[in-house]
Amino acid sequence: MDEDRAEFAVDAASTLGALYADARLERQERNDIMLKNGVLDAASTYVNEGIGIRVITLKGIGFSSTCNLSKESVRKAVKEAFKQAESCRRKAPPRLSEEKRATAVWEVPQKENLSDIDAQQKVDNLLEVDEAISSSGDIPGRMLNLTDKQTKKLVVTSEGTKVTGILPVLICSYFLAVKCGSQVEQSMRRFGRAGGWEGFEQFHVAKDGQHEVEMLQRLMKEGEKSPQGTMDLIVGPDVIGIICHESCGHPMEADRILGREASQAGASFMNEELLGTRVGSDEVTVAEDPTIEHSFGYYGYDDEGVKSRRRLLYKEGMINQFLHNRESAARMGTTSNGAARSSGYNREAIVRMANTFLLPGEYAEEELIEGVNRGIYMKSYTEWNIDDKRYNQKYIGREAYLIEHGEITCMVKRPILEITTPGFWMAVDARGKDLMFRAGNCGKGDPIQEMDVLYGGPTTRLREVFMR
Amino acid sequence: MIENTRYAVKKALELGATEVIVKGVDSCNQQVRFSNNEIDIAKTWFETVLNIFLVYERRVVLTEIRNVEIIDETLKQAVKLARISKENPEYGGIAEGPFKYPDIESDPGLRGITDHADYIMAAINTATEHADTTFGALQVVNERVALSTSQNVEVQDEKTSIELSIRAFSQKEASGHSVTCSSTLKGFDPEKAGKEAGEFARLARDPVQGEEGTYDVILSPLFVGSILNYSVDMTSAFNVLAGRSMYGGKIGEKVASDAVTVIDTPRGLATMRTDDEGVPTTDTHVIEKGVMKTYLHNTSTARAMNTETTANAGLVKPEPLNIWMLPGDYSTEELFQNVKNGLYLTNTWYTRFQNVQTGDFSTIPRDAILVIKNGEIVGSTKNIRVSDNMLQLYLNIEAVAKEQKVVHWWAEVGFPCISSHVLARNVHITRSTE
Repeated sequence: MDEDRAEFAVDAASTLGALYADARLERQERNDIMLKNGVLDAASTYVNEGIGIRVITLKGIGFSSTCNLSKESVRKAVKEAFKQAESCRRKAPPRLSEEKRATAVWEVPQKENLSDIDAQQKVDNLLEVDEAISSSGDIPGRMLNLTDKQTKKLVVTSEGTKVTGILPVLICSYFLAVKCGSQVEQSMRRFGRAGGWEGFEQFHVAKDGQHEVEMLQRLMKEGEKSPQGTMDLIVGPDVIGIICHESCGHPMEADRILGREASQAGASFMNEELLGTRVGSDEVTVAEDPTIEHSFGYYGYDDEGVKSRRRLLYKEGMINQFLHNRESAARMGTTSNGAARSSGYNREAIVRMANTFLLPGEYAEEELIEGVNRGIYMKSYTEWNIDDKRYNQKYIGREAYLIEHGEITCMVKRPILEITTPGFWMAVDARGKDLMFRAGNCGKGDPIQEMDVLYGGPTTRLREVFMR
Repeated sequence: MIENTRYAVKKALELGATEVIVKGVDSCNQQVRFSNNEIDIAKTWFETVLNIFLVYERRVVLTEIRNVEIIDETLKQAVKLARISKENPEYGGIAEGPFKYPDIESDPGLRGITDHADYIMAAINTATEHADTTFGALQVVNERVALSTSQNVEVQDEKTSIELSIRAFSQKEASGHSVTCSSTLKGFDPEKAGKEAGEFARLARDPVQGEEGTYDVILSPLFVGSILNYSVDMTSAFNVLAGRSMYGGKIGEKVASDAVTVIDTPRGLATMRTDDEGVPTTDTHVIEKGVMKTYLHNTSTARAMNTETTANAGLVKPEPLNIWMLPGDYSTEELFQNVKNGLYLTNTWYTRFQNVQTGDFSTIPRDAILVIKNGEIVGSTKNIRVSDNMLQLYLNIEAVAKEQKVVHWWAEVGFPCISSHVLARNVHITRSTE
């Protein structure tokens, strides 16, 4: 990677008269393996290298990228970004928040370097996982994917920031269609970690998949109709995690609140006046933290060169802090809290989550169950969705149980929680101490940018919510 | 570009590959995003990439090259990877050329256009006749494609398109969304899109809380485009073979009402004359008068299912080109006249399945959700969800309007569609509890 190209781009933009410019030079090496029904469908290997340039002038913001890193090509991209900025016709010049100039290098260490693991070993290991899962039941449809990627990224700004980041990531995922007689149920799971090949063992994919197969078969054989009515609900880490992501993380993204994503990924029911007001019970503190070592959403500095940090979005039930990049922070008269991320050199850095989770409490899982006279324990989910203002959401249980008089009595099929955001968070009554995470894939931006994220939390109890 | 794809094929064969596809794409695409009636950012992407599909004795490898100086090195690595990979017994080869192709259809007028802001302002101006704020994006695509394969295929293509997506708000919870999408500048109408978005925003004013129940619904072309995307993607033979489809084992069976005919066509927003194997693209009747006729195939999946390719090869799996729901005999007004008590759903998002094999799903209507009484729009509602079964929803389509629209929008209508308003009976609507 010719690092001088980034400084060359920023200098070229300044020479043209830019008020501000930054350049992101990136190189990503990526390998994928895809198994379909136990057969290696395809392997792939990619090297993706290029530069993205953002230019701010009095009239607007321009962005251009190129995968050709010759000086002529980079100069052409800079000129184009400048021309695009000048075409925007903004009434007032765009602004970025004031931030400390940074010079840094960050890197996630690897115990077993991803580059040292040959394709044959990856295929063999994935086939072993497939065999272990497929031997546990009738699985007429199954897909397993393994991806490793190593990204080196350099961010240079006309303000003097220069940050290099090196991020190795390992991802494994599966889709299983499990059959029992004439019934079919499905499971999709994803595992992700920043670091080296040592992550593969830590995923325990085979064990997880086997549990899913056995659980789904039991559900199809023994599962009873889930009761309807107002009752207590316990949700497992998988479920509380997706809810933290959907109904806390997303509505707290400042660019959504400002309307920057309104015609695509949507807006938010939040506004600046709601800061400091109540959205949940005292039990609800949701953290957004990219600094957790080896986490799937880890980064040392964001894609604008701002140092990463933990943010508390909801704090003891109150709306506490939005997620910002420099553009949204300037519009709201504050500073960035390091949430600018892009999926590649050719995409603008927008406000994104990293690792979003409900802080744990002190209860054991058994204690939470004991405290329920009649209710549902939803450990995992299938279908889910939420409206584009992040207010009305639905989660359907996959692994779920009926609780009667403080004890689990049977499995139930597809219990449905359809509830508003404050309705959910206000009903939270107690939290377990078992903080766990799940790797996810978040889509936002236009063109859509898929982002590696983690979400989680402890087993969590809610009082008196409507279930069907 | 064709020199590079030709060279890469030759080189890969020399290195030991048994079959090779090289698809080169040279693009200069532009996008302008706006919010609150102002432009946020204008972007241009310059990309030149060689996408490579390479086989060594039934071992399939995919790679890409963005720097032509490292073609040899990348191909060596790819062939090495193929040699140590595992045989795919299901792999059935690629198409044998040569083929004859129709003429290139692209619009030179879309190359290097500079008046993006004028188009956006035209849409904003008509939208704000009835709305206060607007949000959206304009996108211009200019791509040159060159395709060479080891099986006697060499073809070039050009793709141009322009599209604008606009969402207008008249109140915080009253919005309308519209798009204008065309492969030529002539067919692009930002004023009309802005006007429709603004009109929906006006009609959506003062929405009341929606109620659960079973409703007759009119679905807009944007809504229909979204559900077509999810369902027709499941007709890819790849997804059927992987168990990720509600259409598995349903060839020859009724999967929709008689009113529904769905064709995959090379003519639309994504006009293209060849698939990724070089097979000339053609109309494929996927669902005809409600009966499932075929899955979408490449050469390999077709051989696995003992049929012919439908010219839908992507480099990884068969994919739709443009999804076309054929028009019906009714005017849109006639559809409304056939609804006594119902809803008009103008857009949707976040469609998710409980189970892709059974088709149980829900989707969240967004933007204007309008109440219909005796064929007339009488108000608006909010906060509802369609919770139903996708196969049943298609079976419940009673009529399709004759007016058609090209729709393509963000990730929700990712494959371009040509769709109409449709009337569906007995659709299940749910809502959140507080």
